[in-house]
Amino acid sequence: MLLQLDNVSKSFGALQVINQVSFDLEEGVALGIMGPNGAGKTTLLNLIAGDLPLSGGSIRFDGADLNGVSAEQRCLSGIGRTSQIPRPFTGMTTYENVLVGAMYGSNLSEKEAEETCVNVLEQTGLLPRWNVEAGQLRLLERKRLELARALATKPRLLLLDEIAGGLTDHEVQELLELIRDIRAQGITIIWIEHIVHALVSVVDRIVAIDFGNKLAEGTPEEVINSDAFKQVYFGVESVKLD
Amino acid sequence: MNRDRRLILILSIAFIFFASFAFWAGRGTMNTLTEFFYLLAIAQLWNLLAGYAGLVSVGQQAWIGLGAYALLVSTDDIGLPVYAGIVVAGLVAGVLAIPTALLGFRLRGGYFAIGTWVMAEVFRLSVTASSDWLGGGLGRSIIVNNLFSSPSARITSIYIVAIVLAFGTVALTQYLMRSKVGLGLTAIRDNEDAAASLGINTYRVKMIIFILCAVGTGMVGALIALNQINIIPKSMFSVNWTAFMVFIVVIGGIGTIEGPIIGTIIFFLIREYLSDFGEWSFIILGVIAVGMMLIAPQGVWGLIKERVDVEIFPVRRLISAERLKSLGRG
Repeated sequence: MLLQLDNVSKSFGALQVINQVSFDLEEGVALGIMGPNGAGKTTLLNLIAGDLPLSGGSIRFDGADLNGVSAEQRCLSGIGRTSQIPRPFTGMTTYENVLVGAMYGSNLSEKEAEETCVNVLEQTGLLPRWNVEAGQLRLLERKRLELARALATKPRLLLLDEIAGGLTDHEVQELLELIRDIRAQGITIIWIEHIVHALVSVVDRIVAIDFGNKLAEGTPEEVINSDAFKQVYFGVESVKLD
Repeated sequence: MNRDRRLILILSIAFIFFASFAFWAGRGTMNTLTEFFYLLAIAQLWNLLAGYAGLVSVGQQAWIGLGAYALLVSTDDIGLPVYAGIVVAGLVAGVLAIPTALLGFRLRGGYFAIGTWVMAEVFRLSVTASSDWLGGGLGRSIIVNNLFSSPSARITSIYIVAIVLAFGTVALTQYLMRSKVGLGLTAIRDNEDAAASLGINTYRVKMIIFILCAVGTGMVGALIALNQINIIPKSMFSVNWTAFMVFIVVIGGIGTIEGPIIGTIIFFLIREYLSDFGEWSFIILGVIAVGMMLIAPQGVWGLIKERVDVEIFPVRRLISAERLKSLGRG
């Protein structure tokens, strides 16, 4: 198992945001996490990436307990992430943004890092924007930059936080191609997304959560057809047609 | 690289130009320029700290004061030559910056600012407590006759050290910005959380910068001590030093190398103009700084850059159109 979540919990004061969530993820699998607004999806991602400390339970990455491991060390050990609201280094060029990932995240010298950066920029379609200040990029380009930077750290596990959010249908299609391409490289993916059809077209498995609890887990079909999922998304116990 | 060669040329010419003052300029000119250059040096260091590492310290006077006293002790009491004393001043500040950072880095934002100020006060009070050795609140004087052959030699030597420190700081900042540390530092400046998720040990990068800035500011402190001869805790550990740094950097443009240089020039011009107003000049300076922050937070250099595409200190890693084309085909 590449990633193991065991009874992971997170509370902010009295507010229980994640409640004893467990699941395992094999290397090479793409996992989708679904759930309504405020279900705790981003919190779960932040816990895996090390941006927030756990309140209970444990997370193991490649067999090693991540408790007390900082975000930057998790990045170095192979966990890359993108952020729901892109966080570009606005005063740096597109190239320099990716260079940060390559030099720090993959521990390369500036010379060695160049090749990685060129590859990643080409893959994400940002090569023509090399010299452009990241603050001037459009939303889709910023989302691509999030991916490019994370890829430059050479992740084994890539965490995608609502990367398709706010994009037009056409843009979502473009991004889907890119994500499929990344998957084909053998990178394990955890993807949080509201846009169900986008998610379902890429991932192998889905975990559905609501109010911090795991509702269902399985293939996209199994989860979408489960009673618990229907209850949350459509407000009905189950729909039986005959 | 072309841009880098041009910068080295500009800096070399400027350095030679100002160094030549030592041979022909009057004492008054040299004294004014000495102050200009040491303020430029400490402002540039504060810019590195606050503008890049996000460490808005209000306690940089700690290093000025400690540097001053380190020089006093190492030359007068221990008998080191004056230039060794300046180096010792930097080292003492650097070493004491480590525990200060270990405590201060537990605090964030405004709390860090106040925390550094408190630490500076702790250092001031510790020095003041030693009345027998360091002269307590009344301070002590450096016996400069032992250090320099004549009064004019003192002014010239101090002036030379001031330009070396100022140019050294600017060159170091430029070098840092083109290094891995600078890349990380700029990333931290723009988004600290994102920097951490890309593998930057933000704590370590900040620690390096904090210590480096303390060393530089401590050396300037030694220089100020040599210039003023009388070393009084109240003035050496005065928060005014940091206020000047903040003013210069904010006016000139925070987070750029050009900003503090422009800021120091503006600061000097305004101060000359306001010298008739006495204490009121500080209030006017404060109003200007607040106004600038509200109207143009990017400073004068930011305003210039909005209109003209100039870059004196090239920190960007740009690629030529031809090279980009060949990569795109590949």
